[in-house]
Amino acid sequence: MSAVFLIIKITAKMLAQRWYTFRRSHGILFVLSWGLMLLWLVPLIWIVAISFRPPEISLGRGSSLFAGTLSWANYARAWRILAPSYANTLIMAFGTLAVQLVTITLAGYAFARLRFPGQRCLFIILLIQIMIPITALIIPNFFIIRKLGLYDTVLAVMVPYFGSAFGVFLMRQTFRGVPIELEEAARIDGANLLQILVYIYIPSGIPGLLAFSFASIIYRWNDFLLPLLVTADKAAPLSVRLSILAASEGGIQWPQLAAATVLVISPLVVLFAILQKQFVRGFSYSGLK
Amino acid sequence: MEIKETLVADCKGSKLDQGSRNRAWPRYVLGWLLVLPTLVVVVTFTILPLGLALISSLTVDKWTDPLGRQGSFVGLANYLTLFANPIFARVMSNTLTFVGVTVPVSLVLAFAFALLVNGSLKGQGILRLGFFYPAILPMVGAGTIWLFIYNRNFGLLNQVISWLGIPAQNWLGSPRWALMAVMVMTIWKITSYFMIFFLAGLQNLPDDVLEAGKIDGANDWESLIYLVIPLLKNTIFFVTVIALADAFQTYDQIAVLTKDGGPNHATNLLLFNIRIAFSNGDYDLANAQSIILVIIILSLTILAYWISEGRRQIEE
Repeated sequence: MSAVFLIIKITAKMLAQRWYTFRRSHGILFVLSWGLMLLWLVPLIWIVAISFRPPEISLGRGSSLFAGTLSWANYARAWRILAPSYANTLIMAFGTLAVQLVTITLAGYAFARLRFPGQRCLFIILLIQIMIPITALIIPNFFIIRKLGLYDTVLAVMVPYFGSAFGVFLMRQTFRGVPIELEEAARIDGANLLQILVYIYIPSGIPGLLAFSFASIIYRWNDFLLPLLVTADKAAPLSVRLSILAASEGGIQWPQLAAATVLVISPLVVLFAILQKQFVRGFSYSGLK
Repeated sequence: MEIKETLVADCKGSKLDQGSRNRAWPRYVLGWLLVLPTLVVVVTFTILPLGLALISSLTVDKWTDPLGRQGSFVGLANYLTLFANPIFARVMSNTLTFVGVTVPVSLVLAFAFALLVNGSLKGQGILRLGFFYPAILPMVGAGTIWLFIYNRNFGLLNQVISWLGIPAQNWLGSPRWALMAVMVMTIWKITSYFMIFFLAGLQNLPDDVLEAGKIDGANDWESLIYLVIPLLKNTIFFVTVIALADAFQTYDQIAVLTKDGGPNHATNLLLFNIRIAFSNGDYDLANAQSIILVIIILSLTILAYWISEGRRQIEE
C-alpha cells in the first residue's frame, strides 16, 4: 500500500516539477490562463448573444448564437418592465449607504477614541450581527419588518442595514491610526465633536470609507431573499423583478430575460471594469472582516 | 485567554476608564449616544429575531402572529418533528453535499487562478476582469445566466454534448442532475469571489522572504509549498470558514435555477425553511430549523474569529 502511495507521490512531484520548469517559459501558462478566462466568460457571451436576438425568431431554431440580424427590441421591452425597479434598487443601495456612512463614522469614533462603561459588552453585541446574518433569521425578521409597517416600501430593505457592525469595526481600526495629538490640538482651538470628525477623522478615513462603500453597494444591489419576502409590486428591486421574469408561468420570454439580465448586471460590471482596484480592496476588507 | 477575562470583567461593569480626567461623565453619555443608532439596528434585526426564533422553536402555536402570541411550551418537540421528517433528511443531505463539494472545489480553483493572474502575464488587467466578473454579479443574475446554459431545448450545454453524440438532458428538472447543475454554477461564481481574497493575500506577501527562497535555490513549486502556502495559512483557513458559512446559507441561485429546489432534488436548508414557513404556515417548525442553521453558522464564525484573533497576534 505504502509503495503505491510512494509511487503516486513521486509521480505527482515529477509532474509538478516539470510543470514548474515549463512555467518558466510562460508559454503554457499564458495559454492556460487565457483559456480558462475565456471559459469563465462563456456564460456571459452566450447570454449577451441571445439578448440581441430578434424576438420573432424563436430560440432552438437555427443557430442560437446568431439569428442573422441583431435587435434592440428585447432591451426595450425589458427596460419597460425593469425601470421602476431600477429606481428602487438605486434608492436602496445609495440611501442605505448614505445612512451607513454616518452611523459607522459615529460609532467607529466612539470605539476608537472614547472609553465608556459597557463598551466591550456593546462590542460583543455588535459582533453578533456579523456572525448571524439577517438571512439566517429571515422568518422572525419578516414579521418584525411587517410589524414596523415597512412591508412593500423601499425602507423595508434599507432599515435592517442602517447599522453595520462590520463598518463600525473597519472605521474603528482606521480611526485608531489617526494621531490623537491632532484631536487634542483641535479641542484646544475650540473645535466641537462634529468639526473634529469632519476635519480630522473623516479625511483620514477616506480609504476605509471608500472600500466599505463599494462592498456595501454591491451587497445591496445583489440582495435577494430579504427583498423577495418584504417587498411586493411597488418596492421590488431589480433582483426580485428578474427572478419573477425567470419564473413566469406559461412560458418565459427567453430573449427578453437575457436582455433583462444584461440590464441588471451591466452597471456593476462596467463600474467594476473602471474601478477594479477599489472593488478588490473593498471585497478583501469585507470578507476578511 | 486574557482577552476573554477582560471582556467578562468589562461586561460586569467593573473598573473602567478611571483616568478619563474630569470630563468623564459627558464622555460616558457621548459614547453610548454615538453607538446608539447602530445598536438599535442590531438589537431590532439580530438580537430580537434570535430570541423570537428561539422561543418560537420551543413552543407550538401555529397560524398566529409570531410576535404577539402566547404559545405553549413543548421543549424540543419541534426539533424532533423536524428530524423525523424524511424530507428534512433529504434537505440536510443536499445541504451537506452542496457545501462539501462547492467549498473545496472553489477554494482550490480560486487559489490556482490567483496564482495564475498574480504573475506578470501579458494583458493581466483583462485577464483579471474576465476571472473576477462573476464575483460582483447578483446571484439571481448569475442564476438567470445559467438558465441559458442548462435549458433543455436551446441551452449551450445540451448543444455541446449533442456534438459529442450524447442525448439532451433535463439538467435542472431531473433528480440525477439538478443538484450537480446548481453546484457547477455556484463553483463558477464563488471561485471568482474567493480568488479576490487569495490574490490580495498573494500581493501582500513579503517580497524579501520569496527573494531569499529564490537565492537559496528554491524552484517555484518548492517556494509555493514551503513559503507561499505556509505564509497564507491563516488567510486560507479564514476564507474556508467564511466559504462554509456562506454555503450553508445558499438560497438565491437554487431558487432561480430549480424553482424552489424542484421536487426536493436540490432543496437545501434555507429553501426548506422558507417553504415550511410560508407554504405550510408552520412558523415554529421553521424557526426550529433557523436555530439549527444559526448554530451551524455560529460555530463556524466563532472558529473564524479565533483564527483572526490568532492572526492579529502574529502580525503584531
